[in-house]
Amino acid sequence: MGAVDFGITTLADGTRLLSIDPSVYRISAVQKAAYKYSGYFHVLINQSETAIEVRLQPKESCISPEIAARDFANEILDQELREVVAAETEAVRNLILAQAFSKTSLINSEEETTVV
Amino acid sequence: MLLNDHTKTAWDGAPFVVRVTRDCQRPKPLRVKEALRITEETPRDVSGFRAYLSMPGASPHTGLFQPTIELPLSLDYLDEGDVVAVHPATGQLQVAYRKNAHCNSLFVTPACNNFCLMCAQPPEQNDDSIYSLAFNAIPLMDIDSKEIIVTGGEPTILGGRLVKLIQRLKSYLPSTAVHILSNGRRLRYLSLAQDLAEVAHPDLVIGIPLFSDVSYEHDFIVQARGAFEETIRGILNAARCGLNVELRIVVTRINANWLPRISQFIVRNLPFACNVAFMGLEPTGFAKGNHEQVWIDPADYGESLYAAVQELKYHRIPVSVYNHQLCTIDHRLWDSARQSISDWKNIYLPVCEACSVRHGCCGLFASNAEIHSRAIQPLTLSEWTSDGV
Amino acid sequence: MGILSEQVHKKFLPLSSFLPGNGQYKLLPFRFIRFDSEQYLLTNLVGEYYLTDRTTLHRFIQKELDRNDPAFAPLRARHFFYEDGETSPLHLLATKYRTKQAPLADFTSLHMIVPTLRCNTSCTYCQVSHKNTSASACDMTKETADRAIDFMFNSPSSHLKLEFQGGEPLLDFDMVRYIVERTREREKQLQRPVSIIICSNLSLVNDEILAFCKLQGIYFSTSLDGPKKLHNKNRPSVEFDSYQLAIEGIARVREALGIEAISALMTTTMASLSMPKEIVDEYVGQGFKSIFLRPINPYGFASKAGAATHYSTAEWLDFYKIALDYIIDLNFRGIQIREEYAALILRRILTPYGTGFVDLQSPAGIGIAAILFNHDGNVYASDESRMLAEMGDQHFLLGNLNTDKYEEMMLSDVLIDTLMESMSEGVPGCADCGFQPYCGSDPVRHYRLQGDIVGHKPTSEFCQRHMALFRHIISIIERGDAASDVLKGWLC
Repeated sequence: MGAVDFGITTLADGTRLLSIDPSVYRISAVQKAAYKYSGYFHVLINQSETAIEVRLQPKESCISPEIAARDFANEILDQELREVVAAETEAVRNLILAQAFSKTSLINSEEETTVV
Repeated sequence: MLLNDHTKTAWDGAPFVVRVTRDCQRPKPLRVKEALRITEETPRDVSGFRAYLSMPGASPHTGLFQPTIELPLSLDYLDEGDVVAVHPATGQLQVAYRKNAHCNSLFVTPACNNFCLMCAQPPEQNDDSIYSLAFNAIPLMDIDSKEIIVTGGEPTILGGRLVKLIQRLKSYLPSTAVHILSNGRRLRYLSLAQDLAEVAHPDLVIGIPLFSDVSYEHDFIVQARGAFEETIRGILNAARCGLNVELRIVVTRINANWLPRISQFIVRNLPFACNVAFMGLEPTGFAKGNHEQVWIDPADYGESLYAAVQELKYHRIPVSVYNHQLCTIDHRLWDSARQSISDWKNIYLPVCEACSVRHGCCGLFASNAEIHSRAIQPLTLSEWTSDGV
Repeated sequence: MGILSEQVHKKFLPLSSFLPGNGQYKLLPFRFIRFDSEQYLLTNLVGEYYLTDRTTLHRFIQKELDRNDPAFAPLRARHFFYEDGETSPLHLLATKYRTKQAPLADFTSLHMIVPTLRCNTSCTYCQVSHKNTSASACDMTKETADRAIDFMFNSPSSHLKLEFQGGEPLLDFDMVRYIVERTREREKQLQRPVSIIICSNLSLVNDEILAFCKLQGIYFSTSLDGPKKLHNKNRPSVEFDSYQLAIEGIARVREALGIEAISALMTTTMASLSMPKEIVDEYVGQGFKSIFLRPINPYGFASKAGAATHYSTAEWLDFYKIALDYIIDLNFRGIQIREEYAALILRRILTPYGTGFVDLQSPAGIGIAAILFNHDGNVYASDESRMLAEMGDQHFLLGNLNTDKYEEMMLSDVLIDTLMESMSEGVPGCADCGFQPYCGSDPVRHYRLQGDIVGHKPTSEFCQRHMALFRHIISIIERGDAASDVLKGWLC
């Protein structure tokens, strides 16, 4: 094995290895973070019951793989939070969009018809 | 100058409105709705008027003209074309309209569903006779009137009766601009907004106060939970129905430093406003009792006001500054300053005599006599044109 | 009205009496992205933004912010969250969202028409292979022209715009005249105004043409790449001095039709990169109040190997920032000139209004905002689609005016599928990007450069460029200084 730092293992060929706890980060968050960093790295993701393993092999264009790998770790948390936000706001988002394209108001709708 | 006062006597009878005239030869059909100002010279055989107004301190031809109402000195200015509401039971005289005023306020209800900390016209118990008097005063007004402000209390409390009133204004005064001052809360009922819009008044603006971009801050200032929410829905309905909405921000100690964020909120959420007015506080009514909480010297919020006005200007939203004396605001705001104070309560201080821009300045409220900015000072021409102001 | 008698005797309540519920707030839809080394940018459903550090962002999402936090009031007012009992944020967001999308409902407004492919110049970056000036096989026929006009008036847009492109349109002025006259006739019949523009190198402008344009209310657009040396290097001609003719042409058009009647566009080549100030000076010198600094489009001649066009995104961004700084500085000194790329982005960020801009909107502007009629009747989803076709790839051909119906072309699979599948709201990377409300999709460009309409955003030049521009412009706004004031002055 190579040197371990910040939970990131560096292999001899420069590949960074991360072992991610699936009870903390969902797989979709890891995938999205991987997509975002696929400009810097070739990425391989493996999932087992206990861990999500991510291999990041720096591309030639990646100037500082060290920093990029740590940023990737941050990005996983950010993506996890994006998923949290998306799940929590899905219903209200649908309501807002429905309201945006409705001819009459769907919210406080009794005020559309009450006669004063 | 007063718009309300009492005559010495009271008698039985329902309240009524009359138009004032000095002409004892008025065509007979007009007299039944008019009050004649009588003097020693008035011929003894004059008759047919609804009422007779005698000079303060005089009672010419006592008993001859019925009813004779002795005018208090404060209302001696009443002249041809003015309209007065008379309450015989209390002797109260209320001037509903003055022909020579640039702008007249039509008081339609004393009741309100807000309770603003700085309200200059504190709400009172509902009184339907107020509406009737206003309704009846309209046909007596001069057709060349420039502008009528419909105010209270909260005019929308009248519901369909407000709509009828606006329709009456359109019918009798078809080229007179109408400005309804309302908190907009009842306009959240689409039917009311639609009915108002269907009057199709040619020049109607609804002036709606907005005191913050944050709901509970606004609610606190107007002392009504849920007011902000309802006002926003009311504003949106008004816009939806094609009504013109002016947003009015009275500047108090509470909101003086967050004016720019109110502008930002308007820019993003209410950009259809036909005008946004930043208004100096009138230290009367509740504003007097809550003085410590609401009064602030304009000299202490100059930056906030400037930034707030500039934000709207960048987005081409029309903006006005009301009730701020020119010497108390950044000179770059002078183009937005307006003659906003009704003449009957408009004063200047003795120091203003020497000011070279007095003619362009709105002056002060009568109630500012004791409470006003420390920055009030006469400006000379060279100061006026320099950047130091 | 019983409540009112209570009110008359009511006491005044403190602020605490008006606070909603228990301080537990509910999130509204928003996106975020790392902005710089310290800050994150949060954007709501309609692009209102807030900058804050990562800790505050995380606390906000975990519902740990309270009323005393400096972030609380702005996040609330900008509709990032709402509290118990509130519905106004939902009403307002819905209205604002509809407002931002409103240009979509206006549908296709820009209709480009190519009367001829003939040209008398060989611009190094030309995106359409030119024919020499005498090959009439690339001129439009009257039948095709009639059908193009019919097609245009099918659009419900209230801002119809007809733009002559080429080649050099004035090489077939008879066809231009025909199209204009037919359009004006139809305009009158239907009571639907059309603004008409001719994109031209001005080499052929003469009194007859100017008189016609004056009568018909036609505007001009021309190319001005910069000072003489640069312009002629980019746009060489064997017949004449391009720059000289452009300058003289601009003067003639202004004289005859007014100074507002002609605008200029520049293209950035490798040679341009070292002279941002000189280019801006050229525009100022020629009396233009507006300049649009844009990078080259990767099509046609521009894409062939050659130092003329191959520069990196970073190089273009450096060029852009120097030029923008210089333009702001000129504004300080009382010279009014506005940079249009920045102005567009500013409107996206700071106003509630939608801005239709074909290359930077989602869904993309192809077909539904702009469309192109080629000389042979081929209908392309955009100008870039045509350029691709001239390179041999007909992927974005929608049909032909002479054989296909409006509905068939506008509902074709290639158009609908491309629009839907490339929408930034739905593709990886873009869907939850903090800059999404300001950005767009450019399926044709991604198809050209990366092989598919969605592209690979982490390596996409389009993405890198726009992210850098958004960061740069927001940074200037945030400074709140005189430069930020200059930019705000460009909003309207």
